[in-house]
Amino acid sequence: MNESKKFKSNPISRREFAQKAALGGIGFFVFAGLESCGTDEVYFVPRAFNAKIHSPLSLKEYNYLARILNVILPENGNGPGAQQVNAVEHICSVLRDKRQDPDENRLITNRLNRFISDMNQNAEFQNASLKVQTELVVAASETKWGNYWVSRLTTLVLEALLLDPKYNVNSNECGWKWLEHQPGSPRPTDSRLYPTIFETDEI
Amino acid sequence: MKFDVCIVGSGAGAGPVAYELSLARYKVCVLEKGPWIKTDQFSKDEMTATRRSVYTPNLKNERHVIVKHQKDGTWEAKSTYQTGKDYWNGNIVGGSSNFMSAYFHRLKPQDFKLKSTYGEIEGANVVDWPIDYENLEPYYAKVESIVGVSGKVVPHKHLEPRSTVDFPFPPLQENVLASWLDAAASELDYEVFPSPRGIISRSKGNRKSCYYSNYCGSYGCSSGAKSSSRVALLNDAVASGNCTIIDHAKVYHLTTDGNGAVTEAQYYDAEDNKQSVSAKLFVVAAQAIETSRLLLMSKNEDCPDGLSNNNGQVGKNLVFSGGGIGSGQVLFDELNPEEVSDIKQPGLFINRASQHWYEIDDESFKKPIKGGTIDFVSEHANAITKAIGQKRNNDGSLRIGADLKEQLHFYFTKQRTFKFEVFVDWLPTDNCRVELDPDVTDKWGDPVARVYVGYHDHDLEVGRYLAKKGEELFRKAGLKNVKSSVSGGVSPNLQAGGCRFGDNPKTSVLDKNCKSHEIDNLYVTDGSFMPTGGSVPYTFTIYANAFRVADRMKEHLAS
Ligand SMILES: Cc1cc2nc3c(=O)[nH]c(=O)nc-3n(C[C@H](O)[C@H](O)[C@H](O)COP(=O)(O)OP(=O)(O)OC[C@H]3O[C@@H](n4cnc5c(N)ncnc54)[C@H](O)[C@@H]3O)c2cc1C
Ligand code: SF4
Repeated sequence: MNESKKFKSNPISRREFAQKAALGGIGFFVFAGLESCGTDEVYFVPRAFNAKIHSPLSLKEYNYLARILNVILPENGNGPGAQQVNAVEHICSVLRDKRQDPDENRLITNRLNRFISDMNQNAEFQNASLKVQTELVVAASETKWGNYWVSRLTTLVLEALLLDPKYNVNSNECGWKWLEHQPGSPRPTDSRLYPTIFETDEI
Repeated sequence: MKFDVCIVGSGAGAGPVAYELSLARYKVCVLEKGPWIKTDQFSKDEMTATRRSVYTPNLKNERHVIVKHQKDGTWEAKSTYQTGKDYWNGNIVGGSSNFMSAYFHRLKPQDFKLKSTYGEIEGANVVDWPIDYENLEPYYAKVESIVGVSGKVVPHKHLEPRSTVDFPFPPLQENVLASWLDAAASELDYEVFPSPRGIISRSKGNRKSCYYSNYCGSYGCSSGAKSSSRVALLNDAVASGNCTIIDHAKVYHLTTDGNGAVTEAQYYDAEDNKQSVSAKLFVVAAQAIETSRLLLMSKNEDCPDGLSNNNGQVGKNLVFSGGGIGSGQVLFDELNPEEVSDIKQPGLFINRASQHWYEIDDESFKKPIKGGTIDFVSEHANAITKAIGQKRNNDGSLRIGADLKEQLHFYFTKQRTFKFEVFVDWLPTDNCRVELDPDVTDKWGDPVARVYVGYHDHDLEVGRYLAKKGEELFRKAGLKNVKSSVSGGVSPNLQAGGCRFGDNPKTSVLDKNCKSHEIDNLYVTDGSFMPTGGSVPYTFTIYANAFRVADRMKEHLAS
């Protein structure tokens, strides 16, 4: 509520749900069922891998994750895409964050690797058109193992879209401008951003 | 140094005691487990306020175990670390009152006499309070002026008796939707009134008035307008020179002398060293769950089951707030540009409530029953939380790509969602209680609270009745896609009970002055004392009662 908070939303973890899903996964790979033939398609190219910025990820993981995030929030002419809001970099900062639930973070990369290995058995996800990539991510999201994973990635993409640009996301407030969102005042100062805020005297 | 009074916790239940006693020149020490954050250090950063645990502990270090009733009749225990559903609400100086939205309704006279007014309800442990509304009324008035409550008294059939004509602070500014609701209510012959708020609309001392920041609930206030225990009470207490606040002080044990008195509060400091404070009187106000936990943890040879627990009552009859929520949309393509611009005005409050059905006399129930309150509110401005709400289609599948973007754009730019919240009694039962978990410990190795969160089906029936009324008003006011949901789900921020007050030491933990029946220098002043919760959020009553108890404590110290 702006009000009140009678029923609080739970921002972060659904760790246990995720663990359960991991046990009972059913392979989602049914390429034969995909409908695209990919002629007049859109192709996405991620920016270059930077080992320093993207450090929790290997080059391969980065190349997949950047494309998956672009599927979740594509640059399609209707507002910014995942790359513009630095979604992959945001996820890297979450993966580096020692305060985050480590199981939840492991889940992000473990499921990413599962996705990658399923893809390798089949087709060239990386070179596929956005349409084909979308069908594959949707298919993953419809599996037991993939549903929570894609949902968690979406949450983090939405954070990158709408957090204060001081977090190196939402570049030039593009997310706020697109959604006509008015941020609150005062905005955070550098020393009081997460997780730097824990280094301030009072916390 | 030996203090006159040592208070555990610094929130709504603690502030009035610290304020009253330090202004009366008693030496007061407040022990607060969290940090001391000042007004100018808060910002409207969604990351620190709601996306990460900054003002609450990391659940890996400090969790609760929640035990829920399953459909097959069994009970299942899961820790909040497993589920992510946090039961901490704000652990800094001032407690969760820093983060409240501050809807401040008084209880009604019948809330003090639930059993004698409406009779027993099978399966519920309903009792009358040992005090009446008249005993608390002067203290509600005190909260209104000292802590700061804004509003406007409008006669309605369940308006509680008042010793003052109106609120000391005029009502806050309102969004145009409030006038739509007024018009719809008058067509339906349905009583609504301006919601009182623990937010000041004019400056008071060092506190500036509300600047309509649009980020109220869950956010610390940057003007001091929100009537938190910290700005409204503790700052003055400290300024008196008689109140010492020790932050980062997590109390884990209250030591007794074997003669029925507490001698020391033992705590871990910021570096996890063990420290202690001695005092003549001790007050526990750590919010209901943690208060029961501390008393249970403080067992010793004299009190083998925990302090004040010789009759096994500590932790029993915990209550949350029953009810549910509803929502409706104002669609911009149905309005003219001027109306759109009015409805989009950020920051202004809806501030409408209805207590038309605080008592329900309807043929669908066999006899008049206790009803509740409906508060009409705007959706929180939190952008990420709103966006996350758009992640899934109605069938539960994820929205991905263009679909997701289209939905986000629609939700943020082509409509506004308004909500209503239904508050009904969460009937006290044997199935809602606090114990110490036998296995799970916190980072210091102390047992965490194991919280049973069973509810009574009666709460759902009443909640649904009121939710229908909320829906009716929204539809009449022209809102679309109106819906509501009522469940036995817990709102962990609204906690009371666990250390009932009452005249009988066998069935209650505290006497009518909120002093332990068993320990002569131990008081509890958060919401734990409430044997039944009423059908409003609790904080106004917690503040008022803590002022009342502070008066009794002054008498105690003087004697
Ligand atoms: C987002 C939100 C919205 C809300 N909206 C409303 C509303 O609109 N209306 C309303 O009436 N109420 C509202 N509330 C609830 C309101 O904040 C609480 O009812 C009120 O603050 C409770 O007072 P308290 O003293 O029991 O607990 P708190 O104010 O939470 O204070 C308890 C303090 O004790 C400290 N503590 C706990 N254990 C220990 C220990 N062992 N040692 C030392 N310190 C300890 C805690 O850190 C905390 O600071 C809201 C709460 C939240 C979080
Ligand atoms: S300025 Fe007003 S709206 Fe903002 S947090 Fe303070 S009381 Fe709430």
